Amino acid sequence: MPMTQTFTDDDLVRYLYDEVNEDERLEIKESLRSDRSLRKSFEEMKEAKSLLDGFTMKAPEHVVSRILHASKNLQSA
Amino acid sequence: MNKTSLNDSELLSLYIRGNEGAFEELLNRHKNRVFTTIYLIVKDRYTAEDLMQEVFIKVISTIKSGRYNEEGKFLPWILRIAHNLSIDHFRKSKRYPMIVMEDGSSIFNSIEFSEAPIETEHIKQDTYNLLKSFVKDLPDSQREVLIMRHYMKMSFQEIADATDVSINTALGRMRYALINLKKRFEQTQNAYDTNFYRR
Repeated sequence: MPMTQTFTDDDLVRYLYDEVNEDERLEIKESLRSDRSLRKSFEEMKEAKSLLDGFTMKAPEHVVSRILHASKNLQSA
Repeated sequence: MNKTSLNDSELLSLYIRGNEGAFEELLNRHKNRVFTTIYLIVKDRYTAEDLMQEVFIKVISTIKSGRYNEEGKFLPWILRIAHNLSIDHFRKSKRYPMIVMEDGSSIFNSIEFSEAPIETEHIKQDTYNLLKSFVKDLPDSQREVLIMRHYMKMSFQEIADATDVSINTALGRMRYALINLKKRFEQTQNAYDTNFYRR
């Protein structure tokens, strides 16, 4: 008998970002294992998240220097 | 003293007592995350630079005047300031400036990326240039949730509260943001494949 799916696609987002409780985690994990279509949707979101994980921009050094200079020149109360 | 082994709260305590080296460590630790958050909101390099300076001047003033009371949650505090100032600026300007250099190339080509753990430099640069443009092209509501969750590390409930929507709406926006990014990459990859194999 197939398991009744009680979660939504939005719950997959919570799962992806680790905002589910243990019961939810187990249910979703099991569904991902057995439902190919669901797994495909999840993998697509996971790939996008992985790209974002590696993406940070470098703060310009001249801005960093100005900030450090400002801190040194500002007196504490 | 090895400042890199101290946590944010410890560095902050040192800074409050006048140790500028502690502030430098804090700044270097978080500067890229703050800059990325600002840039993805305002979508303009020069504006992001100005705002980053403004954010940290505000941070420095608050700390040095004895008004800091975030109980150790230093990074979330800075990111909130960065987000709020950036959103204010974005709403006031309501435009997407594209700065072009004399040779016709975009100013965005000169933005450097932090180290990323994949493949060769060339592929990495192409990938992140694409990602940057795709994030900028997202609808404002999707981009905002993506920035808040992924870069500011707010929970979806906190995002829902901050943006005055239901948590389901916040989750839906994030889902569509991720799906849209993936689709854009796929479309780009398909276009590359077609061109490569064309006779």
